[in-house]
Parts: sequence; C-alpha cells; structure tokens
Amino acid sequence: MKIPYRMQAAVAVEIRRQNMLAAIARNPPRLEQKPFDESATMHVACYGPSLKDTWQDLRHPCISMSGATRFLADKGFIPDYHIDMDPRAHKIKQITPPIDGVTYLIASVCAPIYFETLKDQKVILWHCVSSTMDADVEWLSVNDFGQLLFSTGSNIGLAAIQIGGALGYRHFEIHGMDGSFSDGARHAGEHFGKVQKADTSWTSQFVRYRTSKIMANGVAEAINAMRSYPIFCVFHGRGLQQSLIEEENLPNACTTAQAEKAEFVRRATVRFPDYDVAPKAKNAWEAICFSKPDPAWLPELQQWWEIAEKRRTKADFNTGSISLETGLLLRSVCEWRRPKVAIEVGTFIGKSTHALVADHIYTCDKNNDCLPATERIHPHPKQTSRQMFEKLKGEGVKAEVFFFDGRITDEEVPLVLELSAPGAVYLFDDFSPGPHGKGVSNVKKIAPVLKDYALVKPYEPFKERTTLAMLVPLSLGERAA
Amino acid sequence: MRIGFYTAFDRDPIHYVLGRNMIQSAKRVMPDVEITQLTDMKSAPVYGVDSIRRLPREPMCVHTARHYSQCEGDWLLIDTDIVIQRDVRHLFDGATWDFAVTDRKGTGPTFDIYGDYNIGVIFQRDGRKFWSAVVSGLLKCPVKEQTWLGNQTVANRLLKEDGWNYSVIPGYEFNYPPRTKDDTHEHASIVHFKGSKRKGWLYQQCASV
Repeated sequence: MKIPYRMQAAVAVEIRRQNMLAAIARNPPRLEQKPFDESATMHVACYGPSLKDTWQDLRHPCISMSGATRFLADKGFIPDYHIDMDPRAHKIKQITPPIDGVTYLIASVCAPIYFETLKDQKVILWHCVSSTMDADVEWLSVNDFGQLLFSTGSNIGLAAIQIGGALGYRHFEIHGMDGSFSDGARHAGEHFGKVQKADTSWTSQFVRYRTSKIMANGVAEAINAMRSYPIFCVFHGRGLQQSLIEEENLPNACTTAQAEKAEFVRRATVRFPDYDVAPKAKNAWEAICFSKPDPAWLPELQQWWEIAEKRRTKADFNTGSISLETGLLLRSVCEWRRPKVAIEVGTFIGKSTHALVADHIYTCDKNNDCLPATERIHPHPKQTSRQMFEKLKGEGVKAEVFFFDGRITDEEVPLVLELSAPGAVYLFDDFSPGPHGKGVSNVKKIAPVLKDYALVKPYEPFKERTTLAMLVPLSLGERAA
Repeated sequence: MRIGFYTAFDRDPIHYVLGRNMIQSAKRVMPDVEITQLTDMKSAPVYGVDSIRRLPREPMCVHTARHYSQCEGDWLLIDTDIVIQRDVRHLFDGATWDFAVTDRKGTGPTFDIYGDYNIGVIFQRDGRKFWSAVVSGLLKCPVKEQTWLGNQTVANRLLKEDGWNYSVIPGYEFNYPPRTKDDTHEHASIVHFKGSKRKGWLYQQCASV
C-alpha cells in the first residue's frame, strides 16, 4: 500500500546520532534475536482511543507504549515491556516515575535524560533506522558493531511488532492501534506529545474516519507489514486500522469482530513445505558448502553491495569488483569453516571483505584506500600483499581462510604458508583462462606446495558470473561431502 | 497501478541482480509506483522493493500463477529480466478488459510451443479467475511443467477458449526482446531480456563486475 504523505522526521539525524552515542556509552544490555516460539502470543497495547474498550482482554506477555503503560498500571495491569523510540526529551513525562516490574525496551535514539530517568530500571537497548538503512548500517558497524538494526516504521506500535519479532513472537493480539480519532480524541487517556490535528480523513467500509497525516501513514505501513511479514495478528477495538485490516482480507490478520477467522489466525503457523528447494549436491561446491545457502545472506550482501559501490568515488584505481554470486560463495565458505582469521588480498571497495565472516579480517590493496576500518576489519590501504604478510607474520597471525583477488609473487608463497592455520582454505578470484586470469596464476603458485589439497573450480551453474575457485584440504572436503 | 514480479531464492541470485535493475528502471520513469515482490515464505527481498507478498513454496509456475491470482486491482505483472523505459500507466485509462497480453508481432522468431502470447508482461485489472484457472490447469500437468514454462503454455491454451475478457497489445512496444546485444530498443516502453543469451547481456549491463 502506498504511504500517502511525505513527512519529515521530528528530530535531525545529527541529534539522533548524538543520542545514540550517549546511549551506547551507558552500555545497557542489547536486544538480541531470540528463536521464534510458534505457540506463544505477545499482546501489544497501543494508546489509541479503543484501548479504553478492550484493555481488560490484555494478557501477559504484553508490550505497551506511550501513555498506555501508565494507563494500564493505574488499572492494575503491569505490562511486561514498555517500548519507546522517540528522540524528544519531553517523552520522559510518559515514564515518570518509572514503573517497577516493567522492562524498558528503549531505542538508542531516545534522549539521554530518558535513560537517566530509567537508571534504576531494567533497560534493554536497541537501534532503529535514523537516516537510511545503508547509512545506519555503516554508522553502526563503526559505533556499535554487531548489533541489530530495526527498520521500525514511523510509529511505536509498528516498532512493537518488530521488536516482538526479535523477542521470538510472531503471534500478536493488538489493542488500541486505531489510526484514527474517536470523538475528537487520539488517545485513550492523557498524552504529553505534540497535539496532532485531525487534518485528513479516510473512508473504509463506508465509514469516514478522521485521522492525521502521520496516523494515515502509520495505518498504511501496518497494512504493508501484515502483507509482508510472516506474522499473525488479531486487532482489537474499532478504528480506521481495524476496518482496513478487515478490508484487506489477508490470511494472517483480522479483527476480533471476525471471530471465526480470529481463531484460525491465532492457531496458524508458518509452514515451510516439503517442496525440495535444495536437491542433491551436483558438484563440489554443493557437496562442501553451497548445498543450501541461507536466504538471509542475500539482503545483507545486497546492502553491502550498495554501500560498497558508493566507495568507488574514493578509488584511485577504479576497477571491477566481485559479483553477488561470488559474494554468496565466499560467505558459504566462511559459514562452513567459521574462521577466526581471514586474510584478503585486493580490498578495493570492500564487497568481498563484507562477504567474508571472521573475527578478524586483514585486507590489503596496493592502489586504493576505500574501506574504513572496524573492530573486525583491518584494512591495509596502499600496501602490497607482501607488506601486509610481513606485518602479520610479525604479529603471529594465523588464518583459516585466504581470499586472493590480486596477483601474488613466488616470493610471497612461503609467507602465505607461514600465515596459514592447519587446514586453511584458499580462495582465488579470476580463475579463468586468458591474460586476466590471475586466479590461475595464483593457484599454480600455491597448489604445488600444499599437500593433499584439491582444486574446486568455479561453481558451474553460475557460468561466467563467478570465477571463484578454491583449494581445500582433502580431509575437510571429504568430511563435508 | 502496482508492479508485481515473482522471484524466490534457490541458490542462484541472478534474479536479485536483474530484479534490482528492473526496479531501478521502473522507479526512474514512475517514481511513485509501488513495486511488490511475490515470493515464498523464506526468500529475501530484492533490493529496492516496496512490499512483499509471501505464499508457501510450490513449483515455480504454480507458485507464480497462484500469486497472480491473488493480485486484485490494477497491476503490471512482469518478469525480473525486464527494463521499463516509459511510464505505461496510461494503458489502464478507460480500460474495459480484465487483463491484457502482448502479441509477438515484430518481436522476432519464436517456437509454437510457447503460444501466441508471452506472459512475461501482463497488464491486469482483474485476473483472479484467469490465473486460478491457470493454477488448476497446471496442477494437472507433470511436475516438470509445473516447474518450468507450464504457466506460459497453460495460459496460452486457456486464452484460445472463449469467455476471457482480455485485450492483446503490441509486444513490439510493451514486451520487446532485443535482437542483438547492441539493439538500442529505444522505441519500446518495456524491454524483455528473455532467454539465457539476453539475460547475459542484461547481467553484464547491471552487475558492474
């Protein structure tokens, strides 16, 4: 569903980033993805007017937000979680005083005073997108490496569903998500935020609902979330959102007015059918590590590819880079071998570096300085492979995975061996005949000095879209097969 | 109008590379159009899609047709190996057909087995009945056909029967397969790089490897 209105964020990105740095510095526990419990249900208490009518049907566990937490506590129902991601300082009014027994799931963009107010409470920190996903992934990789980043949507109710997913839930009973005014009220009770005018309307099922542009956007986003995610939601109360959910007639979302369907939605589970998507291995790559690549690698690699492409402007020597296909193969090798250390020759814009997974990745590029360093990635810009190898040798580094996307010399071969952990795997890009086939040249240098290794040629089904070959120890290859 | 395309990840990411390119082309000429990926329960989104619709995995042709049967309202349903060069939403203005298919006139040689119309480009106002019939037809076919080309052949077989309210529009403009790598295809609103050879040309253009 198209998002109807173009809106501006209430707080500038620079301030959000300052808030994030301050929150990270406090170092509260981070939100981690829990495995899904297909039988569990999370109740979500939004603060729309209909919460007044349905709150008695709320059960635990429950995430609430905004003024709903206080509203419920005053009625004797203490929610398990309170969630917020509003960077404006005045939001502390909603949580003052804090309520004992509530776990506060607070986005790092929230103002420092928010965290100060909760200093004696249980707080779990998470990060939401503040500018663009690409920019924030990059920012986070430098400032809070390895933590989850959530694209929440524009309101906190949508965020509660996302965060509920991270807590391991895909069944939700959603209260007070109305997206519209009721008798002139936008909330079930007192609210300290900026007053929103009912500046637009939306007709659904022959009823004209008064709403605001901000709420209308949220309503459309919620519909898109229901369409897109493997979640099951039953909406309580009456309002624009609930009416549109009925209109959409999705298999995974309905309202309590649709009693029979609600029972079906509550019992529904995600079904991954038996249809065989990974037939028997047909070649060495599949036998070793590429029989069933994880679909989750793709969005991550696609995002890194977008980020990396923008680094071309920094390149002194602008050349080709690896394909998405090669990226997937590199990732599959790392998932198989799970190296502590990987060494790469030929950083360029960093696509392959991001495809590799290791605690530490050392990478060099004799011509370019495009890739920023992180805790995990140690670029050696404007350095030859020999210079990097010598340095790493001095540090006693041993690597389980090597990726060569640059030509190595005969003199470097003993260095590579010294830097190799037992059973190391060697990957070679440009393994193709002809003058650009530096992979062939590299294999010819390294293969003769390795004992009991086998050459795995580029993955044939990808045809000319990959030229990645590898040398694997026979023992490992056999075990994997 | 929304744009819908089917792709599901099965080891080979080529349709993610081509799909991203298709999305970029569509957004260039129709910046506000919503683009929806039709896929299975697990596949990742193609970079740049606005929304995803998921259905449990089935053999590809059945899966695609089932998705199409659930697309209500105005849709342009296309393959990933496509480049959109012009805004085509005007085709829906005053339309009375339920769906429109493209002919093959001026688009080069083809094989009879594929039928008169290439279903890589479908304009649809209400295709629910038609695609439900395609699903039913496919389910009577061998699994091999359900997996590859079956939707093309079954759809064409059904179109020979009476009772469908469809229009035939020129493939030369709305579903044009380039003849050579250097074919400029400027006349076409929708260019379709169908077949492995053309896909190779398109991949070279968009993968920057």
